[in-house]
Amino acid sequence: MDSPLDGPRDPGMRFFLPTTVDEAVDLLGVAAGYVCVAGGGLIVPSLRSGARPAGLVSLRRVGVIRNMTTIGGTVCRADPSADYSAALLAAGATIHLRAKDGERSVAIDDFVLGDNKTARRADELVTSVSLPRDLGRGSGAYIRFSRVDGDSPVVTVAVRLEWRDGVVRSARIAVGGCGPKAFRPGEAESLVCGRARVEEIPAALFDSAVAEARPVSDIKGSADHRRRLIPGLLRRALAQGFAAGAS
Amino acid sequence: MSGPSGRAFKRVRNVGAPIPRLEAVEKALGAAVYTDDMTLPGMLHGALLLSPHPHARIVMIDTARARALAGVRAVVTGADLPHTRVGMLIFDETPLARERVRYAGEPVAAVAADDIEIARAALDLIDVRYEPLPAVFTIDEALAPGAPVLHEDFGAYVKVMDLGPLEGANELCRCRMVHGDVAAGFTRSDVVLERTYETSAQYHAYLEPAAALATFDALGKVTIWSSTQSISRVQANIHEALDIPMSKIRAIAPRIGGGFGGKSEAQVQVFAVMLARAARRPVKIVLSREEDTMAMRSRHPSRIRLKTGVTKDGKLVAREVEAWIDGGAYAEESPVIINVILFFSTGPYRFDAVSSTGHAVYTNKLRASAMRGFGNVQITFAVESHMDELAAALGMDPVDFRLKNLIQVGDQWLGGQPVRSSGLGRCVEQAIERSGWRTKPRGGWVSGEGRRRGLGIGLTCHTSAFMSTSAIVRLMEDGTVALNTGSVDIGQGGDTAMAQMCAGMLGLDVDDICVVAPDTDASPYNSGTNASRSTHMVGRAIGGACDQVVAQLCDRASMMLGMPRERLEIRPGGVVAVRDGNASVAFRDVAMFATHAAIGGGPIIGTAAVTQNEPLDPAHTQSEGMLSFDAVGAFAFGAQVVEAEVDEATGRAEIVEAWCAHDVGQAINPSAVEGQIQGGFVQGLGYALTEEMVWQDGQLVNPSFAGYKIPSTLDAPYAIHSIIVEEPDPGHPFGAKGIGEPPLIASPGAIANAIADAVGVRMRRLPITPERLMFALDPSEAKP
Amino acid sequence: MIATRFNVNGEDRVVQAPAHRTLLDALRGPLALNGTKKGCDIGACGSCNVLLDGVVVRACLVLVADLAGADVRTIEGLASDLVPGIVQQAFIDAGAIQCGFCMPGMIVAATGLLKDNPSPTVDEVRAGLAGTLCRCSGYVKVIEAVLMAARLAKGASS
Repeated sequence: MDSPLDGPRDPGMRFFLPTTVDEAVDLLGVAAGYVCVAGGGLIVPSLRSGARPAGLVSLRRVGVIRNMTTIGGTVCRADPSADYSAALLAAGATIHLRAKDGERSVAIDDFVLGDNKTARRADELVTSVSLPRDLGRGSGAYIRFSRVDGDSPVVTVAVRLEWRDGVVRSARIAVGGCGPKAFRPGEAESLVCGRARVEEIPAALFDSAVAEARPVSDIKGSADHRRRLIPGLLRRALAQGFAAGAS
Repeated sequence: MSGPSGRAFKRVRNVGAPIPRLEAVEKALGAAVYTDDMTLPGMLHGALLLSPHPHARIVMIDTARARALAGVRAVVTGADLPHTRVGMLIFDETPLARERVRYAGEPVAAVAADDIEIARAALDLIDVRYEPLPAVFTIDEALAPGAPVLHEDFGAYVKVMDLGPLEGANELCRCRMVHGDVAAGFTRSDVVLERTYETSAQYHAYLEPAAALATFDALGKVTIWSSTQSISRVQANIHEALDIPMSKIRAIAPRIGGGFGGKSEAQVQVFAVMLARAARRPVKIVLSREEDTMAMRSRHPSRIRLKTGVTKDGKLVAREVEAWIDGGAYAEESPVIINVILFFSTGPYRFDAVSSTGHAVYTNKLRASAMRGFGNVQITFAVESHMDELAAALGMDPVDFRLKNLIQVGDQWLGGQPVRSSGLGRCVEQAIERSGWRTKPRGGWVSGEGRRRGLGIGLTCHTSAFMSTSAIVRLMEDGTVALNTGSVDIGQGGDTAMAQMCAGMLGLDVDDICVVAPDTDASPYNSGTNASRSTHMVGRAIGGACDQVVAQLCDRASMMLGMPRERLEIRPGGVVAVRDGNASVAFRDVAMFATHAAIGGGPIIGTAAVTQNEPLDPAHTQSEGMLSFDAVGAFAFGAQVVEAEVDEATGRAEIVEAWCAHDVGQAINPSAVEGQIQGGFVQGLGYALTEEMVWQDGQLVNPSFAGYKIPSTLDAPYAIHSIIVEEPDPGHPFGAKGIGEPPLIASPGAIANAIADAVGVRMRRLPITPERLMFALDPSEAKP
Repeated sequence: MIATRFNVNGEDRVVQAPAHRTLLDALRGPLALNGTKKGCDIGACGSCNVLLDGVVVRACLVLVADLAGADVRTIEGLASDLVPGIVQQAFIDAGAIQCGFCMPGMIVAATGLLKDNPSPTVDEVRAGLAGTLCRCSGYVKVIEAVLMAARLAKGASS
């Protein structure tokens, strides 16, 4: 039974189902305006609102990419308050890209430019996201605050600590939802080094993290509220990181 | 209502049986038919053009380009309506805007086309020229001197009730209720406390969006299936808007995916009919979630000032109330809702004197209208918060303070109506005992790193009735029964409860009852499924109709058995028998005899019509701008205790556990009652903590589930204890009272009180979002 | 227009549709399977949950063109000849069903949850169903239904 919905309405929007990364990359190199569809969570609602890119390139069958479609899509979207943003930044991830003319790798700190922009060129495909080999040897924590459980987060905090002789040797701290991109509060990172216990962390660490934040107000919360959330969430994340490091 | 002795059997599966809904299997299989599941041959799809401006003059509408689009079959605007204005209590609106739009989202035009994509494309081709006007978005803006006026011709509008002594240009109702001498009462009081409480707009968020399918037959009669709480209101709304006689309007209710008040009045039905008539083909309109949120209805935002005088040993003396509700662009039910706020402004407590004043105002936002609780939610939040604040001022336990002032059976409510039954004391007792209220510390306790818990109590009293209703009960030839009440089951289990009550009256099993689907061609008048009225009022009508059926059964059986009428009674299983004897005859045989025998007397059919009839008593309470409250039925009482936990680092409050005790008179279906308690409590939880429609310059900024958060499984506690208390009402054949709204009404106050207990901060504005609570916990400026 | 062949409830189907057509609109249109509901169309409510290759997904976020060779199971596919499956029957018996509009999506979500976790705790059920909204029930009897289904399934398999 044909639905009246299935008449020729958009002969212009094409659909592609490549099975290899090379095929996908070739397609992206063909024309500006071809959009990758991975999990569909962002693209499909935009189609519903009337967006009609020149073509959709589905990544569902591309072997290497299949299992990481959610992460790849999220990384490319670069929403500063999304869960992966702070987490990947604190983990020190590397983004691997391929275009027709070759491959390159970019550290997450350099990949995300802010305001939903990334260093990816239109003809490049994110083929993988890798994490440092020694990630498991440190300790970490991830805390998210949302207005209700399961809601997209308002503020996120991720912490990664490396230890030597019972003391923090280096730290990566990432705060999301408090600026145009997830950021690393540098002074806070240096203030946590050399500590053995979470009680040794000075109050100045939290003040400096708040000072470096550049939150804006939106429907999910005001800038003031986001600033107020940082100390409590950061304290909790560090407590978890220290507790895991001690064991 | 009481019939021959031995009536109201409960041994066969009927009243009191916790059975699943009659239509549960169909719903579980995905086979239930809701409006959007229906198609008709040649059916077109409709779409609405909504105003982008919150307030504007319509200078010009040109639909020519839209009409020219291939596949477009009809385009209608306000110019196609026969009347200047229609309305419920104030004739202040037109289904499609004429000359002016008064809220962003107001329907301006409608299109029917071969498919939904063409219809939506056609909307972009309708040229509308607007001249924006200054707008008002809050109660204060609407009442400010020199404020833009939404309804300049208000004075000339037809009004169905006395709206009171209006003053402000945007005021649509001003009502008062006065009992006793409040000034003298304050003088006598040792403590007088005055506080103001505010609430926000809540969205019904039924999962099934507004939908209607209309089709005309060759004789000009329209049949309309729609998602509605009332087929009689669909019929009336179409009749009034389009001048079609009711005899030519057939309104049918298929399965309904929730209503909660938002579907009490017509949503898209009039548009579907207009388009079907213009296109001469069936038309279906289904709103998107965004359209439904933006264009339909909300609960009224409110501001309520309470001033209460009390003696130092905790006796309530006097209360003064001033309440304002923000009615949005068109009045609809606003006058009744502000009336209800005044009516319940005492709470279930005794006072010597009360003076309550209410104002409803117009603003340039969507209609605020009926939503589960109907004004009582807002006033009960204020009253129950205030009771705790009074208790604190007196140094009394919040429960002891309430117990000292509880209204009792025989007392008169504000307005003079007597309380004929009350399980409130038992509800409080049960909620207190099961929650461990007396064993947990007042002022909360630490429950984790940076977390504190507290307990709060909230009481409620609400209606069990509204308007009028009727029932027809027919015995079919095989002794089974057709029950026809026009009652729309919106998901609350109405059909099942009706069938259980009918079976209970006749000694039958619920499977013997055929519940006739609501259809204005066939069904007797029923004002609608709202006001927690169905079990109580429709139950009374069913009782009356069944009384007639039993009388007729016994009459015929007396002829068949050769026994005097007085010696006969009905017995479980569909039998008429001789009392203390053996002779009997089955319903089936009596039905055959009645229907076919020459002396049978004709088919057995019983009818009853019920209306409430207790007007406000002017000797008890002086009032103006009030509908005569011949509406309450049986007062429905409840008490809830809530345990809340606050995360002080984030301001997030979570409800850990709740004990909800409600007096339902008699639980017709205990499982369904529990479901109403649990569901109502969680809607109240959303209202108290997370749900808020937010506007910026008159534009709704969160018209979807992504931005408007209703509770999920992680937000609602599993540990919601439904405690059924039964204190039968003498007016109902089984003593049943309403349960649909009370669980929602009681919970916000209990939650606000629990949070105050946990962290010592009194939140007087809902919702208590993490942001608001964090600021209240630490009002100092955030650094830097 | 793209022709896509995939399996729905055990039957091979072909749908002709433009690239932007969602599985939800195809189910409720040419496939005539109205059990799956449209509550929001942006993936926020779960009324359109279906099983895609055994995994719970939102049909409103899946493009038909992306489904070549896929296995789709809807609420209609959980019953046998109109006899409710274990999860469906548990929802009926627990009294979890009120207006019923969210129930196809909820029952599919529960089915997916129990496949991955046959003996969930209350909190695991709450977490597993968090993406599917219900406005009527307050979720208590929904959780009871899932626990009941878990017990019944365990009993049936032992």
